[in-house]
Amino acid sequence: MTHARIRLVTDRCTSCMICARECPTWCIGISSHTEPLPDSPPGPRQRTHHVLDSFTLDWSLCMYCGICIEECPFDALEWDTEVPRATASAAAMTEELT
Amino acid sequence: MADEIRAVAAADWAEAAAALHAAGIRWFDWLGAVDEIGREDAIRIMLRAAPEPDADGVRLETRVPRSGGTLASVRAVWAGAAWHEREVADFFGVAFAGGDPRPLLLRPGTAGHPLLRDAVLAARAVRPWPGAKEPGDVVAAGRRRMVPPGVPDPAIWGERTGSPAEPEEIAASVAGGRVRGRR
Ligand code: SF4
Ligand code: SF4
Repeated sequence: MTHARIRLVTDRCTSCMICARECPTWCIGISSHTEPLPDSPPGPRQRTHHVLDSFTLDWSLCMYCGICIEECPFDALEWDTEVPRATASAAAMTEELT
Repeated sequence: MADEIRAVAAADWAEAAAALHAAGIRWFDWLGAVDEIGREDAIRIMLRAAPEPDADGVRLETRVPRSGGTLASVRAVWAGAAWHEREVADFFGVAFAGGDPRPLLLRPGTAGHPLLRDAVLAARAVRPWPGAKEPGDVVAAGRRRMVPPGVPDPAIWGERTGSPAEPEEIAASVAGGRVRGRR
């Protein structure tokens, strides 16, 4: 497997924030919100889950260490074979992976 | 099969290295250091050498004081060790007598030594950390907040009032994780 980029398997991600906390270069940004589970009745004991809104990776900071892939408890991050796309600005190196 | 670990007094460091070389242990692998704060007021310096690249070798180690520590350079034994000594000087503030005094990785005039455990990564303390958020982006009242590795508990450094914290206290709190929320 070539370590060319990192792919997010969106439906496995639980927005747990572990990868964003473990990344040594702080290049992962995650936004999520909380929604009630459909089969949980409303009220104070209603059960909720987190829904991922945005998962960004700044390729200008990423050093391809693979720590995020190692640490994800849900195998939602994987190595991929294609390199991130070329950009004309540093800001554009931040890519939305969802 | 493992390396032999040989502890020597700081005063005998260069002599012990020369003795290794004279005994045929000529292949220099690396030289590095560890800040022992919290266990003792010392920097541990290690070097590894072996008869040949894949063989078991000897790990020579010694301790110098955390501040103002000086050790004799072993560059006369292994010229390549000077590079590692410069790195240890940059990162831990240990001086190598007879070594190459030029900084290796830090800009000349940089204050502090970043791998000392009580060195606070100040740039990290002022920049927002993406990991500070909780899942669901909730910031529940009374919840213990997270700090990134390298940044101490704000109660110890940053938001502390009164006397500054002891280096031991700072070193013990820079591992990152949850800290108590402020009242
Ligand atoms: S590979 Fe390393 S640097 Fe890149 S996002 Fe993952 S943890 Fe961060
Ligand atoms: S560690 Fe895995 S599941 Fe958790 S937020 Fe990161 S990608 Fe999603």
